[in-house]
Amino acid sequence: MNERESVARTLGIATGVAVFCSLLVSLAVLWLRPIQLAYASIERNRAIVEASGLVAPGTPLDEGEIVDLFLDLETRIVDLDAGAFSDAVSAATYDFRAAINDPDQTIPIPAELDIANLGRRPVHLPVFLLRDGQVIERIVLPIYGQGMWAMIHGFLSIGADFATIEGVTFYEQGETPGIGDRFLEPAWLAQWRGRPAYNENGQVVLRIGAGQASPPTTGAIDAITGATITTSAIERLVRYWLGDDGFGPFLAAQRDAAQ
Amino acid sequence: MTLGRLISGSRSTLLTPLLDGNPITLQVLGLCSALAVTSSLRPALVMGAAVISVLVFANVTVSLLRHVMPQSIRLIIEVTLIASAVIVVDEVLKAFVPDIAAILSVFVGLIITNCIVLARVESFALHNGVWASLLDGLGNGLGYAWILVLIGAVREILGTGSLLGYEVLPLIENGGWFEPNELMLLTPSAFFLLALLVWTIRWLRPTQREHTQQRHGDGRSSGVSP
Repeated sequence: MNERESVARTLGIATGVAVFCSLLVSLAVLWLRPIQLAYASIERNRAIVEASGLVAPGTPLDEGEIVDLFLDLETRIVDLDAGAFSDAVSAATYDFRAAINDPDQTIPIPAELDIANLGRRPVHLPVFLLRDGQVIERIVLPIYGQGMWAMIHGFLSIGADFATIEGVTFYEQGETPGIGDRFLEPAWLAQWRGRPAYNENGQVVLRIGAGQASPPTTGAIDAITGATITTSAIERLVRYWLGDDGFGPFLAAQRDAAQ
Repeated sequence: MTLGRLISGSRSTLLTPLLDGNPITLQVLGLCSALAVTSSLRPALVMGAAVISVLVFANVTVSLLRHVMPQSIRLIIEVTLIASAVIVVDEVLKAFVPDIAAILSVFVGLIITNCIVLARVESFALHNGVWASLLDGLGNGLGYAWILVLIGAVREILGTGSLLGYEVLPLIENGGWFEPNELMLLTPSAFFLLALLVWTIRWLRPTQREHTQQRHGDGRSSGVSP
């Protein structure tokens, strides 16, 4: 064995290359992460604006237009435990994405209710209201849950009756490219429009199912072939956030107040 | 070696991979990404730039290490360097062209397994100096990129009537004459276009043809095997 193939040399070169590559990748991430996060927050606002119905999904919008449209919406904080609007935290500064991972701002979800595999959820979440005078025309709710590989984050838009789905948008996901991420296709998302979220008794009726194409009057949305785990994850996360541990009590209270 | 020979050597290292030694049309490598990301011109341009960056980085670093790298861990080191370059490129794309990064999705990450990169590193950078390796990486990257750009441009023009979002063929729905062919937006069309391109190049450059066993036999000597 010559000197070049010695154990010491092999370990030395391997360590050197590993350290060099780690530094390279770390520095790149350190430098680029703030730019990526700025873009992510614009994408979040785009998803809110699209869900609100102010613009059709897929409308090309620049950063300024997104901010302007976003400011047309009213941001309020909902206390999920109380099922009502709350002023306990400031709607302008509350960062719900940070709150999701903060043990001090979250509470454990009872295991039998935790259908979206979240473990914990924040007490406070923001909602975005599209108003016509005093009347709430649409309410945009943040929703998220565990997908096949990563958390799926999106917004669900509920109509003036607080029981009909007006649209859904997703802005962050890590599903299998080309297969699982087909749930982002506009044609699939368009099916959500006009579906009832609740029946007369206030029970969640929304379903994503395989089989024959469902008539739009039922709560059932077609599943995506080949993306079974992803579509069932979306079903569970939407049902969780519409349910008793999510926005269910809040929406029920709004329905009662509107009558 | 005289200066003149050095320059002509450099030039051929840079220019040969563009046509005579093209990684896609001659060596038929890197097809997966070439088919997947060419539905329009912008992703093809970005993907080309990404592969050029990775090839140049991998070739230069491997060439620098070629005298000290132990043979036993040669491939591990090469792949580590390639993978690091790809991660950096992926992060850069996600920061500065996030819309294109979303279209390219996994295909940026898959540059790690792109045969062209490891082929250049193993067959060239391991045996040549830094400057020649840099030119070789650049040349092969450009050879890969121009094929992608050509296919991407043709698919976007025929599939949508526009190029980089600007209308070049007036559409019927806008009062013009052009009916876009949506097949062009689907992956099989990239396969057809690539096959036509390979055929055209090998027709113009008969030396690139792959010969079957009966080379002078029945005249079925030319062409790509199906």
